[in-house]
Amino acid sequence: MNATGLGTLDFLIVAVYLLGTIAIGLAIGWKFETGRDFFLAGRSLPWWAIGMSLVASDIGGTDIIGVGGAAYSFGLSVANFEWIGCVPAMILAAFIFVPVFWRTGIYTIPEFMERRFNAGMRAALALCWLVFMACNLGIMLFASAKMLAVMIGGGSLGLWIVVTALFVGVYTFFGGLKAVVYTDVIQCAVMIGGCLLVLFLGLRDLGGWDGLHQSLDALGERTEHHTDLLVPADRDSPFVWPAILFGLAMVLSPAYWIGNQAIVQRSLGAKSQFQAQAAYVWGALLKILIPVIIAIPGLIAVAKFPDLADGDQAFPTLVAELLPTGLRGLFLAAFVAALMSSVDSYLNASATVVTHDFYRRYVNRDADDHRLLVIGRWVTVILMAWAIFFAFVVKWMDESGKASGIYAIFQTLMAFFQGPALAVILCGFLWKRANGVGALTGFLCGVVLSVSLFVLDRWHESFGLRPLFQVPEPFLYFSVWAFLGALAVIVVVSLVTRPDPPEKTAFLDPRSATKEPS
Amino acid sequence: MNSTEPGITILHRVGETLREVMTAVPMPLVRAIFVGLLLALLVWVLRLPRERVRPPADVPSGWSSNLKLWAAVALGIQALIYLVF
Repeated sequence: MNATGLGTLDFLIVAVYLLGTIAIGLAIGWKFETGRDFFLAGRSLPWWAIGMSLVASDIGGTDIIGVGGAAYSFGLSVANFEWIGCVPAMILAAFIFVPVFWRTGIYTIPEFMERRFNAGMRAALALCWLVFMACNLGIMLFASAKMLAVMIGGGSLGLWIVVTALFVGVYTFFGGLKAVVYTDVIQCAVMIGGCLLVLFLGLRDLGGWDGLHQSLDALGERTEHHTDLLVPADRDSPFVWPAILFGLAMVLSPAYWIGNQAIVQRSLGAKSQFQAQAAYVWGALLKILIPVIIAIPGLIAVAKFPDLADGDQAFPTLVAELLPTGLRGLFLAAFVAALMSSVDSYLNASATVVTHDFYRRYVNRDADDHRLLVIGRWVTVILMAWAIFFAFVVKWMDESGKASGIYAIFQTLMAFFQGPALAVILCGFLWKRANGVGALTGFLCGVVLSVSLFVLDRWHESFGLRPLFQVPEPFLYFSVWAFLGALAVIVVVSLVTRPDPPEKTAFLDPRSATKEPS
Repeated sequence: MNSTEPGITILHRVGETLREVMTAVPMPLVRAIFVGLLLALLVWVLRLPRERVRPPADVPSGWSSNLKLWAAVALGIQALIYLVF
């Protein structure tokens, strides 16, 4: 029996949805002739599609289950990741950073780093992103397969890893960024629709918002603060307010929305600078809805099933309990949609980084646009094969008990370089005196600092020390210190070394705006 | 100090001090900080010049093309959420 009690009609709905997605990808990619079509959708994307794609890419299948589970265990404070952890950064990105990225006609964020600083900074950031995205693809495939096996109640993990990879790989191979964005539009709509259904039926079952409150109150001290967004600093929660404000809202969130290749690449494919900006604002508006449809069902699950052994069972249990046959299929389609939209984004983004920041930069600088299309597609195949291999490695580690904490380690891995990368981007935009030597030195020092803090905290007993941080999985704190450390080094080194020539900052001037990027 | 007791470094002392300071901040003030930051961003958005929030002058556009309006709606809802919850 599967966790969600799926019937034949449910599987039929999911099958129709998956085949539709593949068909769209094939239809879009058939006409592609150039790398610009493949990597930037020929700069033809409208704001509404990019905005929905931004949201769909950010919310993976594991997030639907994980955020619902975290809301079950810790309460509404997990919603901070979608609200203060997204909306302000997206608005800032829309009006300050995205216009410059679009105007300069770049394909990747590391490419921007070379224009503003130097080739070393580009290579360092590209390498960090590539290693992270390639490994994360395997992790996402494994995590998705594990959840699919539970939801569907059959099939081996290996089968689901390969099936998911093939579905996503096929439409990303043919359709590139355009297929990724337009399938994301459908995936976003299905995801919001499926989760709204769970929310609506759950609230109706409890007698509305007031009924939910009363049910939570009846559970006593355990859920006393479950509807509080802000958690005091001395609580045993990963979401205490200083971590949310300084780590999430001020560092990781801007680093993600401004510097994450898998996210920013969509806006680079916009029809115009204005459409790129509008996409981010539209995405911010959609983001307001996400905690309502993902986190609140976690609260509904606490009220209805307070004794679940694991918070991650909250969403599947609600689905099995609340939704009739047919609608369960819609939710499963939403779940599959969410996991596919994240995998396809990272697959396409990592192929873009390999093709532009390594192949075109170091192997064949004169490659024409058609050649880049061919290379981009081959790289997509190789990365997908790598992701399947790495997913099986993670599966083996999981089965032999060696994968303990591996997801948290990869979250932490991103925190290692996101903080320093944000420091470099901010200095690049806001301080003309920042130079290439300072940026690269600051970035590397920031990464070394965050890795050192991680090692000191994780293996504190080996050093005969107490843990450095008092909260579980303190990756939000690593990012703050790495950001501050990198910022300080960039400022000092830039001031004591020779300034870069004026052309390194001339393109930041808004008066350099053009309708078509250079 | 007991020799078997885990040691502390200057980093631990800095962390402890910061944790004590953060713990001492009353939650109403924390709420005010969150809402205040969102409102400050809202004011910044409302003061943005026309050319940064609208399509180029040669592209026909109505009131709904003013990004300032939609960004203000998003930030306004956020401020309200952090005020209430």
